[in-house]
Parts: sequence; structure tokens; C-alpha cells
Amino acid sequence: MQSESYGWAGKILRVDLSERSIQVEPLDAYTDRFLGGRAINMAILLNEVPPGTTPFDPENRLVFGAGTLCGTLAPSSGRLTVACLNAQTGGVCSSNSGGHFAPELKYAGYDHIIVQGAAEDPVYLWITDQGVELRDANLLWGRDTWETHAWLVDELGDEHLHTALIGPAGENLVRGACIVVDRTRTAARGGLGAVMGSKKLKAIAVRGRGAIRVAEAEPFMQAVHQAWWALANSGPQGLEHKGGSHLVGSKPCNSASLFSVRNAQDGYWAEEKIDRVDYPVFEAQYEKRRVANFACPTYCSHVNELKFGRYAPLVDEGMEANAVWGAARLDIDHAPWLPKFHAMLSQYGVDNDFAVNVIGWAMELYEKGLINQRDTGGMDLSWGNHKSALEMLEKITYRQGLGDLLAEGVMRASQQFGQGSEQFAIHVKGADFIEEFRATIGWGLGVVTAPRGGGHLDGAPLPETMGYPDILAQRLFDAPTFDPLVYDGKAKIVKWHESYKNVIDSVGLCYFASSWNSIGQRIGLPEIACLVSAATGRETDAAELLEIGCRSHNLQKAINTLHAGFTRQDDLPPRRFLEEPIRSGPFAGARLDLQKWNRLLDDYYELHGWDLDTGWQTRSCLEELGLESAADQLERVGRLPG
Amino acid sequence: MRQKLWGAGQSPASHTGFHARYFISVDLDSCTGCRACVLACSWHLSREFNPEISNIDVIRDDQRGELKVILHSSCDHCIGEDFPWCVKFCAPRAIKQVISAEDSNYFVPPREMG
Repeated sequence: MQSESYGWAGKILRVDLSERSIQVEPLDAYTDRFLGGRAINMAILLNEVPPGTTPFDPENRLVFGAGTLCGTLAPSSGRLTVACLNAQTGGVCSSNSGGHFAPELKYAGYDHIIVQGAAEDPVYLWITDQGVELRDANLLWGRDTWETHAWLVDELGDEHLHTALIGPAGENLVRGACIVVDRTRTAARGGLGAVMGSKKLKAIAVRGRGAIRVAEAEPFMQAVHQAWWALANSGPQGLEHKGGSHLVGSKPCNSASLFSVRNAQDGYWAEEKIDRVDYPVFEAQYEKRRVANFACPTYCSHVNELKFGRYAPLVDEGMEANAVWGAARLDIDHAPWLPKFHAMLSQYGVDNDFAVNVIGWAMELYEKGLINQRDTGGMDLSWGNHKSALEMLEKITYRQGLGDLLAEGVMRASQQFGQGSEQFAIHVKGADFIEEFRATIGWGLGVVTAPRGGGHLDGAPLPETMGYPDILAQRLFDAPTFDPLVYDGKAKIVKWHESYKNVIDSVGLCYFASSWNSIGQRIGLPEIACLVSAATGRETDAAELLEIGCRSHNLQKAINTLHAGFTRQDDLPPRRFLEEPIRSGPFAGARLDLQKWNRLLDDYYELHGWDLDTGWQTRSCLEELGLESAADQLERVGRLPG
Repeated sequence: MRQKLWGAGQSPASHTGFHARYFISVDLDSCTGCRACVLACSWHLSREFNPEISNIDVIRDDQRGELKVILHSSCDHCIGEDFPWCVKFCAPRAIKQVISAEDSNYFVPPREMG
């Protein structure tokens, strides 16, 4: 099937589950100002979801977006972005996933899927370039993601198809449920799975046989070559190829105090514990092979195979740094637990960060004597008890006993539980997170101001912890230093990274493959500009890309203000980070300072042109970005100061 | 499970002066399943990205952590190009162009490995 589009497939698929109708719409209206992927998702969400909608309303939209470069040979171009109103915060949610779903969607002829309404009975969506069908999924309801994927491959008779689906957690509206892509890749944050579950949409299967064309063949291939080899031959001594984020996210992160231990009681994990779960252990004992994401020369993912022991037999792929951070959060240093927990999360369809945050909170309740074995159903919830952590995950998924409370996330659970448990409920804007940032100010600002609530993948700058010289901070960001303990200038670094991440998600590349984790190496903005210009025939440059990123970020901020009413108060870190210092490690004694944090927020809002008192956007900042309609919407609900 | 599939053909690189025959070999242990070769092949054939028409096919079996690579007999060893595209874009160097001493003047039917 040929389309007239270059780079983009050129079409949006709209599926109304209430009406059981399927429509195809052109993409053109969006591409010029929003480019693709995440930015277009956000524009759709802001345009279409009326104020007053709650996450589980049929009116909520679930928008899948493949980036502009998805499906081409541009390195790491397989990323899918999914957006909806956030099941945890009520504001915006945007999550990103690997796998081969996004390219396949483009081969089928669509860049975006908008799912609206809710079905009465479970259904699944079968998309090919020949047609789109809603099919009965009663048989699949209740099955885990691996069974569902296998069933779909079998039923539809095509081993080339790719899936995005939910597990039992999504069906049971667990607020941290995720969408699982191709068995082990997940769009995890923000309860996307629960929103999909509320629409009774079990799965989307896609198979495309079309082509993606590019506008200028030779220049595009030149740009691909450049980006490809920049990526393949770079990185700190090829560490990413070797151990992926498991390796680079373990010891280097711990020495920068990025590990949150025992529900953030500490910010540093003992060396001997990390040694037991670090990558070398896995390389020696469990690693079966290394795999890569779609068209990516960095093969950072690993297949781990457990052949013996309590958790065997097990084959699990795609364990990332967050798995190790999660282990630290629960103080579990038992290596086989990590792939087992990761596999269970994938099968049930639960976000790792959500799960370990709520289980960590429960373990702290148990430690403080606020709950006992009667409340936990006989489970010993001591720190480091890996068996209980798995049991608890099952209870959360099926909402049994204490799990029913935890399935709501720590904010709601602690409000319901009371007894001072709010003090150690770690959340931002109501979303659970597991990052540690008492000794990394910029990282913290990125995590706390992330529109979806928490997570280090929005504005959090990795260069801050990598020991780059000050001159680089001055040249690149006009900030005095990268020193992690300094507040001054961090707002600039964070703002740049926010826009940058939005660009990466909009074109459909991978953040891990970008120059986020090594300045000046891997894929940077100039490479992306070359790729996008040649692929689409629409000339662009680094500055314009950053503007599109900034526009996308402001759309998310507007959705948050419109639907959740977040204010400056919601950009403050959890109390524990202000009151309790890190206890051990190189940054022992470090904690955040509220006064300095407020000054940092002033800096940050000023840079964005947002109102200092409320933290809301102003008409002038929105109009500068060409977002007049967003300003009008905010004005109608009285949330547009100035 | 180190298997090799030998696909044969006249060398596209014969303009280098060597009238050797070249073969494509695939090392399944180092293949990462990224499918860059699939796209590269379709680029050679059509100057578009379309896995459907590609002469090479990679299917991942994530359940067992394994993968299959299928090389179709219609592979023309990137005739007319400087270098076979799939070899060029294989980051872990699982696909290689090799010279074999065996008699290679035959067509290999599509064959599954793994």
C-alpha cells in the first residue's frame, strides 16, 4: 500500500469502543507544529478530552503514537509513546516503550491510534493494512500478558505480528498497571494499563505489509550512516553494549547517591549488597544472549535464563536499571529474585517503580509496627524478604487483602491508612516513584517537575552525575557547573533536557541511545535534524526541534493544569527528602533545603515564562509557542494568570 | 547452536578485481534480533523500508530467548551496491560476507535456522 507521505505513514486510526466504530483521519493537521509521536499525542489529548473527565471515564482518550522516524533505519527508531489522563495523578500521562509495535503500526499505514469510549465486553483490536477489526476477547480476559501474546500469535496465525496488551493488573484497574508491548517491553508509568482496562480493551495486535518512504533517499541514508556509527562506536568504552542500563545504572549511580534504599530511608546501598545483584553476576550466571531493540546498534538488553533454584525455570528479557533500583528500595540482594520479579511484572502488567514503591511503603509500615502478620495475611514483610515481595505483587494485581489498598498507590493508600503513614509515602503529584535526589539537585528538579509525576526520564539531567567539567556546563547550558549539590543554574539544564526528551519521543528514537548519557556522543540534535529533514522533506534544525520539544512540554503542563489543577505546591519534593538526610555513602548528611528549592522553582518558572505564585502558564508564554487554543482552554477554567 | 547458512552468488564486489565468489554467513549466537538487516535489504531492493519484500527475515522467539533468521534464495548479494547492506548494518557483526572454498555455483533454497 502506497501513501503520499514521506517519513510519516500519514494517517490516524480512531477507534470508538462505545460505538464500535473505526475511522481513518489524516495526520497532516498536526505534523507541522508537533512533528510526531509524543507531541502529537499531547495535542490530541488536550484538544479532545473535555475538562472534568476522570481517568477511567469513557471520555478519556488512550493515544498510541509512533514517532516520525519509526520504521526506518534511523538507529533505535522503534519507540512507541502512549498517552492518556493519568490514572494516578488525574493529569497527563505519557509513557514510552520499545519493542517492534511502533514500526509495525507504521507499516500497517498508521502513525497514531486514538482509542475512545469503552466496550461493554472485553475486545481486542486487530490492525493490518488490509483492514481493522474489533474482536471478542472474553476468552483472553484474566489471562496474563505472555499467554495473551502467545494466544494472539496462534489465533491470528502470524508470527510477525506485534502486540500491545494488558495483564490482570490492568483489568483490575490497579493504578500502576502498564501496557506490555511484545511480552517484555512496557509503557509503564501512569497507569496506562488501568485506563486500557477501564475501556475493556485487552489487546492491540498489529501486522503491516506496507512501506515507509523517505523524501530524499541519499541524504537520508547518509544521515543514517552518520548516526548509526556515532551510536555503534560510542558510549563510555562500550559499556552500554556490554551491560546495558543494568551495568551503567548500578555502581556508577550508587556512587552518585541515586539509589533509594528502604523506602528512601537512605540514599546509598552497601557495596557488598550491590555486588550481589550487579551485572557481572548476571553475565556469569544467567545471561543467555544479548538482544537489541528495533534497528538499534546498541544491544543493551539481555535475555536471562534461570536454570535452577527456587525461581527456575525462567527466561526473561529486558531487565533495566530500575530493577536494581527496585531491589535497593526493598533491600533485596538476592540476584535470582530480580529476573523473577521482572518477569512477574511483565506477566501481570505492573509498573516496576509503582510496585516497589507501594511494597516498600508497606514494608516500612511493617517495620514501624503499624501493620503485623494478621494484616498481611501471614506474610513477613521485613526488609529484604524476596518471597514476600513476590507474594505481595500477586495480591496487588488481584487486589486481595492488603494488596487492594496498595493497588491504589501510596498517596491514596496512606490517606486511607492514616496513622502518620503519609510522612513516608513517597510520591509526587500522587504518582509513585523510586528516584533518589537528595544529593543531586538537577536530577531532583527533573523528577519532581515531570508532568506525569516522578520518573527520571523527563527533565532529569544525567550529565550532572557524570563528573563533566564546569566549562561544559557553561558552554552548553549557560549554567555555572554540573556539581550535583549546587542549585544555581540547574533550572536551565533541566529545561533543556525536558525539551530534548520530548524531541526524542516525538521522532521515535530511544533516550538511552541519545546523547543524554554522554554529552557530544551518540545521537544528538544535529543528527536528528538531518534525519528528520531528509525523511520528511520538511527542513528543520536543532533550534526548531527544541522549540517543538518545549511546545510538547507546555502542552503537558497545560493538560495537568486543566485536568488536575496542579500548582506550585505540587512541584515540591516529598517531605522525607527535605527532613531526613542520606545516612551513608559519599553524600551522607545531604538533604534538600526548602528555601533553596523554592528559589530554584522561581528560576525554573521564570525560564519557562510561567507564573511564580501559582506555577501556572501565562498567555504570553503559550502564545509564543503558538498554543493559543491551550491558553483559551485554561482561561475558561480560570487557570491562566497574568 | 552456532549454525551457518551459506547463501551463494556472484560477487557484487567483483568490480574490485577479484573474481571470487562470496557467501553470506549468519552467526545466530551474536545476532541481536534488531532487524536492521531486514530494513537494509528492503532499502537495496526498493529504496524504501519494507520488511515484507526483504530477502532476509528475523523472527524473535522471546519465550525461549532465541531467534530465527531466514535468508531467501532471491538474495542477490546486493548487486550494484558497493557492499551488501545487511552486512554493513549488522552492529554485532553476526552477518558476514565470506569466501568459501566450496563449490558455490548453486542456489540455496530458503532455509530456517535455529
